[in-house]
Amino acid sequence: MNVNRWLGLLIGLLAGMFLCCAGTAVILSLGGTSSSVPALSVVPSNATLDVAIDEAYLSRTLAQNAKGFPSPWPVLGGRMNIEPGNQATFDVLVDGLLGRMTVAGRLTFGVAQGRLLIHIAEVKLGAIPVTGLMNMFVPGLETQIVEKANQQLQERTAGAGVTLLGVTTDEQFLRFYFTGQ
Amino acid sequence: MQSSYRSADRTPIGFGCGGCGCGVLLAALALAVLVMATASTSVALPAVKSDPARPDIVITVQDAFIKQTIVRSVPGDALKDVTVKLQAGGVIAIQGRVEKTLLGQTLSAPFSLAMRLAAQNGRLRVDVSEVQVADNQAVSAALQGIFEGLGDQASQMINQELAAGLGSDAYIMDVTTDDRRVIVRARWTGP
Repeated sequence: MNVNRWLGLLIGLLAGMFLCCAGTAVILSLGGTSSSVPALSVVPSNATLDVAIDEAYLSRTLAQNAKGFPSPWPVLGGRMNIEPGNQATFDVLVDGLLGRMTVAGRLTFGVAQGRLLIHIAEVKLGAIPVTGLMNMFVPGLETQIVEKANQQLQERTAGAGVTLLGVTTDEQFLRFYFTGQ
Repeated sequence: MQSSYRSADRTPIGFGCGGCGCGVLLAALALAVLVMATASTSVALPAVKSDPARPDIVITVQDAFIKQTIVRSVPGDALKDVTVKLQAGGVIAIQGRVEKTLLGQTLSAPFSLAMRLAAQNGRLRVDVSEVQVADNQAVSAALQGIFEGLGDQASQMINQELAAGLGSDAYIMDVTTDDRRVIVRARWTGP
């Protein structure tokens, strides 16, 4: 067999693999973030009421309400881990294109003008980061999550007449700070 | 002759294109294997354990918020210059001035009362005791009515707000106080 043919085959093979990897990398990095990252909030000095929610409860809620969770793939279950620095990591079991898969990610929290902001900082499908891909194919997911969270917060605090001032996290609790109106 | 030369000349390009296709397929397969290997879970996520001794939610209320709530809970803006002092054992000592207009005349007198907060059967109970209004018996009798049923009203109002905020399946575990704060620990008993 001609050496040129083998050389052509090899170059083609390498070029194909490179094209596929580069294409995937471009797709994964596209899409950017759909909203600005919430600023890290500190404990507001004028807060008169604070509510700390345990991560175990958040995990239970996520597991129990998995079916209604806004997601491109049906969510079967999950858990949350609150971490210092206004962030939480999550692992959810989804019924994806390639079967049951674990999607892991990181959320950051903030407050602006009395509204809770939740930013999807990172999403990984196994070892592959798919944050950009998710923002490209499921635009508005973050907005949907923020709207749902604020609607629930509004419903639950309407009677108490309070305004949300800030949110912080530690190893275990997600803390909301309020002041009376 | 020329045709055979062209064919031989094109063959490496054809092999290159074929190789390129194979390369794309191989890389796609490798990526799919990588995703499957790292993301597919043969083991389900571990169930979240619920510890009944551990609260799901801790509500910390500052004395300033309590003062605001007490002033708001009495209709007609009747309480003035209210001061709130928190004591151990869930006791809130409240002092201030009460005003009421009767037959066009405004009666005003100092008052003091103590409220005790406690968790009872998963609900927050408020008992009002030691209500003192004015030194003058007539004024006291006229103004005392403002505080009648205040404990029940406060219990009802606080529990309604807690139920709205936490849901009807919230169970108040305990209430503690220090000199600046009331701390309510609760958990959800729902499924």
